[in-house]
Formats: sequence, structure tokens, C-alpha cells
Amino acid sequence: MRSPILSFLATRVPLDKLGVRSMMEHKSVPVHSLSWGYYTGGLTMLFLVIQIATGLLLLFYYQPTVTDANLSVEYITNNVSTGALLRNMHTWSSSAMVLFALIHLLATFAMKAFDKPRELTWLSGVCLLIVTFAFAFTGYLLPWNQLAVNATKVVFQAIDAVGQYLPGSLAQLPHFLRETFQGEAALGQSTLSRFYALHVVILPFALTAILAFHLIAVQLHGMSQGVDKPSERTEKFVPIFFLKDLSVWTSAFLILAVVSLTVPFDSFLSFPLLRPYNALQATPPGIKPEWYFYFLYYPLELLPFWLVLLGTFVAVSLLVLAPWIFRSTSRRTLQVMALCASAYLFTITVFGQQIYDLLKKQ
Amino acid sequence: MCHTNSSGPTGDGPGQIGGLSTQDLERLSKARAAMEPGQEVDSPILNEFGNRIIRSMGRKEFLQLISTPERLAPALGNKSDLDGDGIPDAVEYLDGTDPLNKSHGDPLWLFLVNVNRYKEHIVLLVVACALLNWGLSSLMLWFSSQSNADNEEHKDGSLNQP
Repeated sequence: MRSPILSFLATRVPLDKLGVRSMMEHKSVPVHSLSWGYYTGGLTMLFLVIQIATGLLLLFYYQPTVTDANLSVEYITNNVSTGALLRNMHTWSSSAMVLFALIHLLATFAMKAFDKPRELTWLSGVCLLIVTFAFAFTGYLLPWNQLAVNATKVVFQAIDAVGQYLPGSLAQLPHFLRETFQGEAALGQSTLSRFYALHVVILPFALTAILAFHLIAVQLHGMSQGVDKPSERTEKFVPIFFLKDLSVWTSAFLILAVVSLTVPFDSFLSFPLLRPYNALQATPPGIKPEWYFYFLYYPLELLPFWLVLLGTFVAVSLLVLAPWIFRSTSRRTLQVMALCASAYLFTITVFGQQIYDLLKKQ
Repeated sequence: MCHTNSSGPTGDGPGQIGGLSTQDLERLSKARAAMEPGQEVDSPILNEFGNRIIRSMGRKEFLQLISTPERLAPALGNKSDLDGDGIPDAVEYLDGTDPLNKSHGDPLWLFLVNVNRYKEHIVLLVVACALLNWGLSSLMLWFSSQSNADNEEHKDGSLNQP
């Protein structure tokens, strides 16, 4: 008799189905009103591939030292052939990757694609989202400008503050984590070296391993049903859906390339924030994290810290335990929840500053 | 925006008055004497944009405009574009963007300028993407048809076996 753990794993990772031919020939995609959700995972992966390709090229010139980091970024932008385009593609695609990872998560949630036997696929997806955010956070420091260093300081302060709400010896954990990643008394060369190592070595290894599992699990189980009433129409994954996917990828790449060629990402930031970091200078106004952290940044600015911490803990727990908590919840309810989450993310990201100004005036 | 050192001209750092060498102080005195427009200005405490302002309007007019900085932009005119990003320095001054950084400016203006500047590149990019899509799709369809043909053959073969 098999142990419950082995039995659980055998259902979630049915390795007997592993085989390129069987996966290619039998995989089909249901056609229904939420079918667009099936494209979001592929788009996230496309932007990841662009990130890897442009990131590798940027590595040729980037210098991870506090004296040269900003100069090397300037050199890439102004002197390296197609350097500005590569850098813009890297930054624009990082934003696009986070955006589509979030859309993919919400669409998957709304379609109840975490339901048995796809719990581990869902969990690996949540881990991938966390790794994506870690990539974004570590990459943000690398240009070593006023904005990068000061925003990282703010995050470290927030991590430190978590300690006071933890019981017993756990209270020391956030401080220990900050010291580990900071590497010295203040943000400096050790921090930059550690963030660089995380960004270009450790996180890519983690991402590759989790992504490989995620993709294999998706292939083994096929596409989820997505709607309550099984769809009457399906299309073969190879070649019909794959051809459509290919067109979506080409269009997304084209849009990204044109945007990167015409709109420098830095143009959205105030230029004193882009100057090289100088520890002796006063912190310039307008220090903010990247837009994809606004969902956490504005609540931190407006609400008591403990409330935001509690909210984050609840949200992460719901995400991790979704396959078990929402096992018997209808797709209709999940769609409403996903819509509410999308509305919150959109409002706080687009109108966060206005809401902040409005509430601070009162 | 106009000074070499982003903290301003006062202090001992690079590009600040306290950190200037004897030669730099001489350059500073010469620049300070450029009261009329058109004179050569190479002040060590000013960046290229600052030197351009003094060169184009003279220090006398500039000092008169200090109390009304909004009049500086019309006085500068729309001809100068030091970073070559397509946005005149005067407009960048008014927008508060960096006139010495070609990646910095009003995003919409930069988009329109760059679309016009790179229109041939964009057309080539569209053609390349369309060709890539067509090529990969054709390859995929060919693989798929080959696979189907193999399957049919396989089925026929197994049916004919005794």
C-alpha cells in the first residue's frame, strides 16, 4: 500500500503521462468566455525570455561596484551600440512580466485552475510570482542612483519594523534578514554585491527550477476546464492554440520593441532621482518604489503598519492555501473575488498618489 | 539643472567653488565677466546647459531674470537642444526634465519625436515580426502535418499486420 504522501504526489505529478508525443497529441484547450486567460502564462514566459536575453547582454558592460555601477549604466545608455534600446527593453519587459504574472494569477484564480489535481501547479505559480517580485526588487538597486538606494533603504526599514510584531525569538528574524542582505552597517558595496548575486545567479537558478516544475505540471494535467459547465468546443493545443499563441507573442514583442525604441523608461522619473547615489546628499523628494509595489506602498503610507502587515499575511495565506480554502467555492464567487482584487490593484496603482494627497489633506 | 555639482555651487566638492583649482578660478572669473550675449563661457561650476544659458543671453540679462525664472524659457528660444532628444532645452527647463539627458523628457513628446526619427526601423520591425510569425507558423503546420501522416501510416501498418 502506498503512503498518503506518495499517493498525493502521484495524483499531482502523474509522471506516467510524461511523453512529448502524448502531451502534444492529446492536449486540448477549452473554448469559452475566459479563454483569453490561457494566453497570459505564455506571455509572462515571453517577457521572462526577453529579460534573460537582454539581461545577459547588459551583463557585458554593467559593473557591480558602488563607484562604477551608475557610470556603467550611463555608458550602456549613451555609448554602447543599441545599449539604450536593450536597457529600455529590460526595464519595460520587467514591468510587463510582473503585470502579466499578476493577470495570470488572477485569471487562474477566477477559473479555479488550482482545483485538484493542480494544487502543486498553483503553489509553484505563487512561488514564481514571489521570485518575480524578488527579481524586480533586487534589480531596482543595480543602477545605484538616488531613487534605487533610497527606495531600498525604505524597504529595509519596513522589514526591520516587522520584528516588533513577531513573538519571542522570531522578533529577531527580520533584523537578521536585513543584516544578511545589507551586508554592512549602511547600504554599500556589500549590499550591491549581494543584490547583484541574487539578481543574476541565485534567483535565476530558483526561477528555472520552479518554472520547470510548473511547466511540466501544466503539460501533465493539460489546460483546466476554466468554467463551471464543461465547454463543448475545444481546440488542439498543437497546432491550433500554439499558432494563436505565437501570433500573440509576436504582437507583444513588436509592441515592446516599439515602446522601448520610442519611450525611455527613465522619462517617467524625476531626474534628480536618477543622479548617482551620494550618501552625503539629502534624500531627494519623490522616493517611491516601482509601480508594481504601489499596492503595498500606499497602504503603508496611509494605514497603521500593523494593519498592513496583517492584511499582507492574510493575503499571502489565502494565496498559498487557496486550493484548500476555496475547494468548494463556486467559480462565480471566485470571479467576483478576482474582479475585486483587480479593481483594488488598478485603483491603487493608477490613482494611488491622488488618494494619498486627498487623505493627507484631510 | 544648471550646475556641475547636483548639490549646487557652494561647497568643497567637485564642481563647487571651494574645490576649484587656481586655473578653474580663472575660468570662473572669465565666465562671470561675460555680461553680454555671444561671449565664450566655460564656467567650471556650470554644466553645459548653464554655460549655454549665459552664452546665449549674457550674465547681465540672466541676473535680471533670476527673480522671474519663468521668463528664462522664452529668452532661451527653441533652437537649442543640447542632448539631441528632439525637445528644446527651453521646454525641458519648463517641464523640469533634464536638458542634458536624451533619455529624459516629456514621455509623450519623446514618443512622437522618436516615432518620426525611427519610422524606417519601426516599419522593418513590423515586417520582421510578420515574417517571423509566418515562418514559425508554417514550420509548425508542417511538423503537425508530418506527425499526422506518421500516425496514419502507423495506424495503417498496425491494421495490416496479421
